[in-house]
Amino acid sequence: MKIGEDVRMSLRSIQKRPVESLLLVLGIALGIGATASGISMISHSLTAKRELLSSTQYKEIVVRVRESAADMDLPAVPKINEQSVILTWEDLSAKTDVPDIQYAYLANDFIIRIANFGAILNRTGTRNGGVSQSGQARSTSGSARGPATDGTEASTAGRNSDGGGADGFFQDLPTPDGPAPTVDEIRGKRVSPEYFQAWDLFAAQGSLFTQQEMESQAPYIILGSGLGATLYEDGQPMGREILVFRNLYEVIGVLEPTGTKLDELAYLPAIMPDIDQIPSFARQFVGLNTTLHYTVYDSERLEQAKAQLAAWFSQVYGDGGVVISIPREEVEAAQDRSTRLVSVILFLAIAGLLIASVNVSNILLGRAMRKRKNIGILKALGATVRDVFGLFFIEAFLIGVTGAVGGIGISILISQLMIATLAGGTVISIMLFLGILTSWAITTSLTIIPAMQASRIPAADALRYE
Amino acid sequence: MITLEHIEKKYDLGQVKVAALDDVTLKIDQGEYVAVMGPSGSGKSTLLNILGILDNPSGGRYLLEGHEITDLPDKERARIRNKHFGFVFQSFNLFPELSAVENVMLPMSYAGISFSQRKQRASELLEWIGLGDRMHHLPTMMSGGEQQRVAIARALANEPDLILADEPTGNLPSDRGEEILQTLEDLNKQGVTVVMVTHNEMQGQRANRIIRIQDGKIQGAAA
Repeated sequence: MKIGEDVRMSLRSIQKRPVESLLLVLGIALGIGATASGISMISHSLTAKRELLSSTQYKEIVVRVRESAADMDLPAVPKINEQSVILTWEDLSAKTDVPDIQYAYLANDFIIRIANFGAILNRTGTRNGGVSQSGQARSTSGSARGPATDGTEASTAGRNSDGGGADGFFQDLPTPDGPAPTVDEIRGKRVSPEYFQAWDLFAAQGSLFTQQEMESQAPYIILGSGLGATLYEDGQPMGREILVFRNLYEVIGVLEPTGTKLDELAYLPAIMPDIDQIPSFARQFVGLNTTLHYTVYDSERLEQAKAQLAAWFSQVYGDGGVVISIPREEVEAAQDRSTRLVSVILFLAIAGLLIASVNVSNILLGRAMRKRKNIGILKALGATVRDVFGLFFIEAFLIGVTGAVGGIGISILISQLMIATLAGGTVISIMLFLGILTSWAITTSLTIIPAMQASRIPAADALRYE
Repeated sequence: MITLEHIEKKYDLGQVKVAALDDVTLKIDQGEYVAVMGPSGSGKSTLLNILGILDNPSGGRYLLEGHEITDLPDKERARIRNKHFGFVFQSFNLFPELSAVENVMLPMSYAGISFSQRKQRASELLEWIGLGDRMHHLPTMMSGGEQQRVAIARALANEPDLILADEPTGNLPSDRGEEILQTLEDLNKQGVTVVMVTHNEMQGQRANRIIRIQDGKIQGAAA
């Protein structure tokens, strides 16, 4: 029989029972939509996990002093003793004893509240001679700052440490000389030099801190590309100054864009406490957030590196002197929980699809049985088993295709919701397509059964049916 | 044309086997007009189904033009039904979703005839049978007599050698039944072999030959 006639007969058969046909289509659409979305969610979950864990953050071992809530139940004296540990940049040298570690750095968050305590200045500082040129060779003199090239006195020299007396300090403070800044605060990190290497951050203009500048607490600031553009709309941030409290920070570099939130941060040299200057009883009040980060070459070696670091710190600060953790483990555990949850959702969706498909199959079988006599007539007219199968299959196919179209709509809708609500990862179109194809194949294979059963009914038996 | 030799048809009803046809031997020649008569449950329709190879005999041989076709595969049996046989049923058995012309076109589609040829031939047949103005009507919009005429046109679609009619006037008033019988007789005069199952003695008497069947057995000398 020609396909055109099969299609015409099938369409008329579908039209003849509109409510039943609509329910069939709806069942298939919901089953396919749910399954395709479930497969897409699994795929999304796995890509999100992969993307998240590829971040530098999850190739790190973090070492911090004991200050977590878990330690709050310690008696006061041992707590003070334990918290008297202050980690310094010298502890970064543990890297040299642990071969799996690639970079070691400090990175402590800070916030500069411009509105209350600072200003974005138009004038330029002295470190780069008031000239902002990309890649220009830098002075390593740090805090020893010379006169500004624009003729203004280098009134900030040493101000961040000695200030030259209260009256002099207030008299010497520069006043904002440009339009009001467009931001209220600047967020950033106090970092040691290897931070930039660990996070693949490069200077687009100027340069990064040197170790010497960090150790001397030079009043320099590096801006993320986005922040630089926000603060200095003229695109010339190099050498400009930012006043915060009584410190003037000179912009010595702007980073290349990364497309991440790092672009909106500012970077200052890490504070390196001189532990000998701090009395032991006062150490707990210093308020230094001394957290050290160690990045490994290979995340597979995190556990080994952690064990070696633990041994190193035990030698220096005694057993349990510091807390060593691997952030990746927590994220992996959370991601695994998420993947298991999504797997359960997928299982339920597939179960729903199977139930819907079995129901569709049953309804189609019922239809075929009601048309049993037609099968006998078709065979009397010369239809083969294959012809009869084709006729019933086309009817199931048309219902399945219509349901699949509805299922695609549902899948796209759910995937859009996923994109809007889930962080990280992406909804992969090919996985969505595969999900739709798989679930449609399941439905179609189940709708083949009634077509096969119908086609095998003997002609004489079918003709007897009324 | 057709030779049945010792045909048996048994139905297995669990512990009991019922013989619908028992050692049936008969011969039908080209151009004959044969009436098959017998009481209800005698095996008339079973015989017709065997003759139309819609059913397989449990035993015996079926020869068509001298070739045994008893155990042919489904595809070949379908081809023979399509090319050589035309069926007319008591309850017309038209497809309600298809128009008159589409119903007549249907057997030709299995014969691999092109759409335009199918449509032309179906139109000619409906014109011949007096339904030229009802071609695009659905069966539900036609009278019983008209439906049966469409069924005859459909049976003639592939120019068959044999028309198998199972009580073709059973659901029709007598005047419409007469029209159908007349059509079958006209076809027979044109050389088409007709085998008609009927209860009606008068209708049977109009055939060239009557095969009487009772309890699955041919009464008298059928061949």
